[in-house]
Amino acid sequence: MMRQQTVIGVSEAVTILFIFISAKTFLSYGRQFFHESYNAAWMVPLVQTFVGLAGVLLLVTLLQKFPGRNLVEIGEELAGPYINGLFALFYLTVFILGAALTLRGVSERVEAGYLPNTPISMVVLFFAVGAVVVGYLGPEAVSRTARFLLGVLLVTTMVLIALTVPLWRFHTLYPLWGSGPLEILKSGLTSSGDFVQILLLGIIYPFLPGGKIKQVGVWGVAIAGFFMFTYIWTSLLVFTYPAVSELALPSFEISRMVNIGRFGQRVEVLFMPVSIFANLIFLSVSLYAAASVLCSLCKLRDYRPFVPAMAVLVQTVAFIPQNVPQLIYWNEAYLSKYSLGALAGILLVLLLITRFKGKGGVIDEKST
Amino acid sequence: MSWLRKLAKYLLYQKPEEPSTTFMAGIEDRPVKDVRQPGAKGAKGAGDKSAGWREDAPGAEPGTREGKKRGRTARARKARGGKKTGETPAPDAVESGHPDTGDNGSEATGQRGMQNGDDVAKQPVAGGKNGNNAAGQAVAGEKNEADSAVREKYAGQVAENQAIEEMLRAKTKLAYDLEENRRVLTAIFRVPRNKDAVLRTLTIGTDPPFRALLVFIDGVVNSQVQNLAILQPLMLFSDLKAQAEKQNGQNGSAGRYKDFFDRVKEALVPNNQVAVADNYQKVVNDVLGGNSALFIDGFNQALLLETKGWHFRSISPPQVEAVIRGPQEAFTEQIRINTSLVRKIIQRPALVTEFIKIGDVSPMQCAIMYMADLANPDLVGEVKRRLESVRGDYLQETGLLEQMIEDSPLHLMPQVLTTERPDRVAAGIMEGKVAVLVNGNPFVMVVPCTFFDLMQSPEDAYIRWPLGTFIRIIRYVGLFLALLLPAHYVAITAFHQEFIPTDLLLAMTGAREKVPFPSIVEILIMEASFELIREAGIRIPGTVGTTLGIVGALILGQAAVAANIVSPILIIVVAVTAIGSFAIPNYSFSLSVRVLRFVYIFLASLSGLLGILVGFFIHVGFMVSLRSFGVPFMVPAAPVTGTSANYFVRGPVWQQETRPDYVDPLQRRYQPEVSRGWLRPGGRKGVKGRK
Repeated sequence: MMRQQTVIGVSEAVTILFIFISAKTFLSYGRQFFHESYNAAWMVPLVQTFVGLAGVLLLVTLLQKFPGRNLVEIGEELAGPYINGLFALFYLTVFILGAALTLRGVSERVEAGYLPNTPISMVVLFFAVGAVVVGYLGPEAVSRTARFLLGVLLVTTMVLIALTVPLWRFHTLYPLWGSGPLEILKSGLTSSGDFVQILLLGIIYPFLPGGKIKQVGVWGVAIAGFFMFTYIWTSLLVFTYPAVSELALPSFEISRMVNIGRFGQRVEVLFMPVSIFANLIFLSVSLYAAASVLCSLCKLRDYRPFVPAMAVLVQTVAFIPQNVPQLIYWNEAYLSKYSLGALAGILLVLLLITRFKGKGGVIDEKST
Repeated sequence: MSWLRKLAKYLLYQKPEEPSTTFMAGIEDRPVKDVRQPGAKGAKGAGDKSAGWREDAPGAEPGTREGKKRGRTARARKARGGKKTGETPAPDAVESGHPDTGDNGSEATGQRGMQNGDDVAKQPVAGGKNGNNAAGQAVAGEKNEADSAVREKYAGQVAENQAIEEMLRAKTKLAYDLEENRRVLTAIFRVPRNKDAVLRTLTIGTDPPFRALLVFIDGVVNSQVQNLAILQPLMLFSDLKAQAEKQNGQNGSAGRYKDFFDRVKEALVPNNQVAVADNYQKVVNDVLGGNSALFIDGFNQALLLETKGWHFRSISPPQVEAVIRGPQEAFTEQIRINTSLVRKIIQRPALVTEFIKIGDVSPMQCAIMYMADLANPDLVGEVKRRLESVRGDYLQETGLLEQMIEDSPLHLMPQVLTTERPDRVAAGIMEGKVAVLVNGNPFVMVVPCTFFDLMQSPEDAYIRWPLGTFIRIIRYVGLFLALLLPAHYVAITAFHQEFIPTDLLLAMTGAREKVPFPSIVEILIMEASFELIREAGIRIPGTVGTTLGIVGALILGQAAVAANIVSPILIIVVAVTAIGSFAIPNYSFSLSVRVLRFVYIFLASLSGLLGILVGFFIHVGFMVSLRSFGVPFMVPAAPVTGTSANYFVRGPVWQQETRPDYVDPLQRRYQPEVSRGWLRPGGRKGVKGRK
């Protein structure tokens, strides 16, 4: 009580990590899975989850050696300012590019689905303002906001899935292995970048309760994996293969399929809060994380001046893609494909330096 | 645009904090030129003596080197005196005794402090008891410096006022001479201009008789108590006891009492509470509080006698927090009655009531109540620290004090629970919270406060739990409607028409067909009108209150629809919104919802549901960042803390076994694991699970 330092509880940390990873399900996530794995696309998120768990364990192994410090500070100590600058640039790219593509994607979705007469810049501005304000308030505010809204997200998602149950057609699951186990594995591994957001764990690590980081990471990734699996599963069962592979925004189309009688034929607006809140949380986290990386890189104490600057940068990048197909392509080609591999490479390098230099070694997290 | 300047300053240049210096800490290093004591030359209405006086009493100037030295001397002298008489000196009785008797401290507190007003000008102003006084002196110094035409015109009066203020702040010791005390008190109370203050001279009927002075404020004292417990014993019966003892062959009271003053205190005034004061500030404060001060010639002390006789409202049913089932008592304006109402419910010795004076010009009596064996000492300390640090001339209301002690005064949300119900305060105290009572105010603050506290009513606990849960859910629905229904109306009619079923859409469109305004204008007209009615309804005299109902219902409802200014469905929306806002049990919270509703309407008019959702996201972000005395406002939902059966819904009372962990009480368990002992044959309630 009367404690003023930033603290993120386990529940909030798991929530923020899970939403940060899985918010993409409300955009075009999984679209390429159907092309690569056909009707066995639902297995791909499971493969991704295992890869994500491996990434989390790698990250946790590194972080546990340096209690109370974030990934940028650890990199600075191990690799020096110049090499760590490159690493930090990668972290920044992940956060900024991810935020920019999400901002544009969700704005396009809202524009197409709910506000066809509103200029896209206006929609983008609304999202940016929401994300900047909450991101500016700090990691505590972001995580608690996410935790508070988790009930809305879960209940609405469950209602959405439950209302589509009458539309499920299980025959679409067969042949069970789709394009084959190898193709599924390949698809899962190449798109493992969908879990690159585990990077957040390295940024918020100093604020987590001691000894809980592994728990946070594993639960966050596992819940996100389950959520993404459920989403692909539902899309597949509702639309069946190959029709589902033609959809740009499957989650939006699912909500449009819901029909609850004469007075409930166009209820997609009811499910709007899920996608809006999830993506706002994603954007807030991204802005905070990007600002925090810059703050650590510049050795400043206050991250807040960077938040509006990051928002401007994100908005600028968001308008670079010419259209939605290009946006989806960029996301698949750059973020989903290589990013987790690059992160794993950085982590391995840092772990090797740790072993080589004999640094770190403080494994007792309770000292934090 | 001050915020813009602050932002620019914050971003561009942050001035390093200057180290605090002695100069900043107080004005003791500065010569205060204009400070004159009452009665000094040039001061008006100071009696026939032009001489002022200066504070020269031991230990009264802790801020100065000289004062510290004197203080040490005084303490040493006091200690010697205590040893000599074999008594521990009372805190208030710093220097007692008659100069003629040669009792302790007589030399130290002689009349040497009485000097001319010219000397006073050179005298550094004494420091206070704590740092607050130093700050107050700094303010006084600023007042001196800030000359204005009025100040120049009435320079004498201003100087006299400041001199009185400084003298009280410096806790100037009383004089031995009764006439001197009378003269000073005359100046302090502005007698004879001020007709409330009474300085009544009397002669104590002993042998030999003593001259005395009774000081009180007319109207706030109980004159019957004064007559029977002060004047009558002193004037008529004071010598009877001594005579009776002489007749019985005893040695009178000479050996039993230290001096005559002690005899008066111990044997002659049968008041239930008697205190001793040695300085003018204490005397003045007590007299203003309704007590009477008795001065006896030749003694530099005064007896403060309990004679409070304020007129106050009797205990009545709650006006704002009415319940159907439950106690029908509410607090009154009398702080002592309020503390007794709480103590009547919590009959435990661990219930502590501490009094703190707040305010500079008109100090306000403020009490904090907490359970010494439950409340977190850090929380109690924080509440006291904030209260004691508050500075201001006039803070006589809970609402004013609330704004001075809350964590985020710029936020719309109330961060302090204000209630008029003793049972609610008692429940809060039993949870480990702290209650803050303000004299003259029937509302009591309970801290810390969370969002869920603001949505609870005491009646939730007094009815059976399923019904309490139902009522609480209804209340949350009311909150949702009050906050978001008008905004949703705007969003759906302007942006998301597809959401409305076709039949309803046709009906709505038909109703709105003749309305020339867009939905945002339409709803702003009606909401603004309703807010006007609500505000007028509070201010309107009761006798014409029904007129307002007619005006509101007919003219703003039916007539507006008939004139095609608004659509009928909007009337329903506004009415349901109003009903929803009335369901919010906390008035301050309801007010904030009223304001925020307009923000949501504006956002909805800009971009429909997206605006509402983004606004809600920001709103939640701000709320989870709020703290009430260090406790997160949205706890236990965000951050998630220990689960309880009583925050969102009302769980069964037998399952509410622990106190809220966010207050971190000294005892977590509220009741034993098995609180219904009769469930176990032969079991005794509370045996199992008590920790």
